[in-house]
Amino acid sequence: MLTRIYIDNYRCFVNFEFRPQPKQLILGVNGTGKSVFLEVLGQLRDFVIVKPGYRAGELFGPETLTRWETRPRQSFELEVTGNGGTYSYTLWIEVQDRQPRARVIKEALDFDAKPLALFQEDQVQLFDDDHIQTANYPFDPVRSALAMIGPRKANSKLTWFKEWFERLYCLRINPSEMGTEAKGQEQDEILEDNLSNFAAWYGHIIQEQTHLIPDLQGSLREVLDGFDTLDLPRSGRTARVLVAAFFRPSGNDESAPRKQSLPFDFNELSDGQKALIVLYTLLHCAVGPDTTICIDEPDNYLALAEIQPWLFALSDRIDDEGGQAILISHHPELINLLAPQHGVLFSRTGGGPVRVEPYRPDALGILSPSEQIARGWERD
Amino acid sequence: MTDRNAEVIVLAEDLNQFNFTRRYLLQKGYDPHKIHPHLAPPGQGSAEQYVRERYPKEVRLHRSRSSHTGAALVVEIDADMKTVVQRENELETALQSAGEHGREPDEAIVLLIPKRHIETWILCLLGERVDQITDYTSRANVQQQIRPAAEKFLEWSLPNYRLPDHCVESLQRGLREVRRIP
Repeated sequence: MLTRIYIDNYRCFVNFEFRPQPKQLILGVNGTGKSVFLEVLGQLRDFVIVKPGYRAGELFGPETLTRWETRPRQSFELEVTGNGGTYSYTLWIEVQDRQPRARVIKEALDFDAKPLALFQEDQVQLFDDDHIQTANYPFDPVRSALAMIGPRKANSKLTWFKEWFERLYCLRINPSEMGTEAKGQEQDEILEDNLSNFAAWYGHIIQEQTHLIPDLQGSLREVLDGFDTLDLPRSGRTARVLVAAFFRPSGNDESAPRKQSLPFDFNELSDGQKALIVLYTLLHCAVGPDTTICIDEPDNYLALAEIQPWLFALSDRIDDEGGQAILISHHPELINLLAPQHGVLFSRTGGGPVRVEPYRPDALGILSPSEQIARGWERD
Repeated sequence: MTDRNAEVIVLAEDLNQFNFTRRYLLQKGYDPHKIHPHLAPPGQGSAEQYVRERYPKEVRLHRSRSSHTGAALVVEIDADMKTVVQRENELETALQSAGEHGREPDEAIVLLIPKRHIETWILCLLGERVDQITDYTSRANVQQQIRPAAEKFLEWSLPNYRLPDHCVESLQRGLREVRRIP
């Protein structure tokens, strides 16, 4: 679980520290850095895991420096609990003279304050699970040293941390960007932040976590009228297409036996249907122990009656199985349910840096959280 | 037998109370889409007072719909330092003041009144010897204990179940109350 994040000199974040809880709702008016917060998490994950070939400058370009700061150094720190201890990850990036070339000044990973990897001054020091140094080698300072370290018996602690990064989801559901096709044998282990590879990711789930599919389809039958199955059959010689099958309408006779179902390409579904499928797929196939799932406005596209059941199901899953969910929302339903116990407020004063504080309910107990926020009284 | 399509409105002081009832109803087989919360708004105002004032309106709504939806209304309110009977009387008075008649024996209007509060019930259901005076609200990991406690609540509510000696009196009343739920 992500227990601490520190961001300095990245867009609107300066000397920013936040300690998220297992269930967290981030509140705040527009422009207070909520989405940028997810962007940072995604960038760090991409740097270390998804795109190991990426240069620092491609992810942490000059445009990401805080505009009113003159310092070239960006600092990021993560604290993650799991695997029986606490990981601390540190990354310092320097963008020289605001040129597109950025270099890693320091990248370090500790476990319970003892080193697993240290990369600075173009040298990598690697340690085993007992924190004894096992290697020391030069490395290109424009990439993540961690990204290039493969799993070995002696570095299982470091490997666990990289696997946690693989289970860090930073999502913004946009049905129009969601692909319906998985080319060839393509199966994506990592879900893109905009879910553009949802079909290929679902293909990976079908292949690797088949046991999760019956419960998922059962849930989808409850939330989508007439839903039958979600599958990824072949289409032509090289592609597979995500298909949702719905039972043929049986007319007014409820007792009539249901006929064969009709297949619909995923892109034929409504945005709301796509969003429901995504949210319940995440619930069944992504949320779990040692997983951090962040979703920017999960309520987008959902009917009012669908928000609560999904939210409670998510909350149940985290209570029962562990894991972490960080949600961003402006929706009154979601705010009223989550803000009192799990809300934090992002804010900026005069366009300055982002600050975070616990959400405080209306002191008089008259306004609901969403009414309080709609009036802009949440910081009174 | 439980009608999964029956809707249940849960009027509660807070999310922990609601989640306890929701978990119980899910165990009982209710459709999660048919369980609707109405929670007191958080803040320094009295959640108990909010529930009491809202109660007659929810009863009126329930009575207007129960004949065709098989609906149930569950009201959760902590006894705190009062007795369970005092709380029941307060709710009854609120009904009468609003021009509604009292609860009929066969109405699916359920009053769950933990004394001192829902955490007392949760701990009791999980085997701890508790009293109804001590404040247990600061106990850690309450949220993780709601599901197993609700499972016990269902088990203990079954006909002929022999309640353990440490079952507090308010919980015994609550177990009788839930028999009103279809």
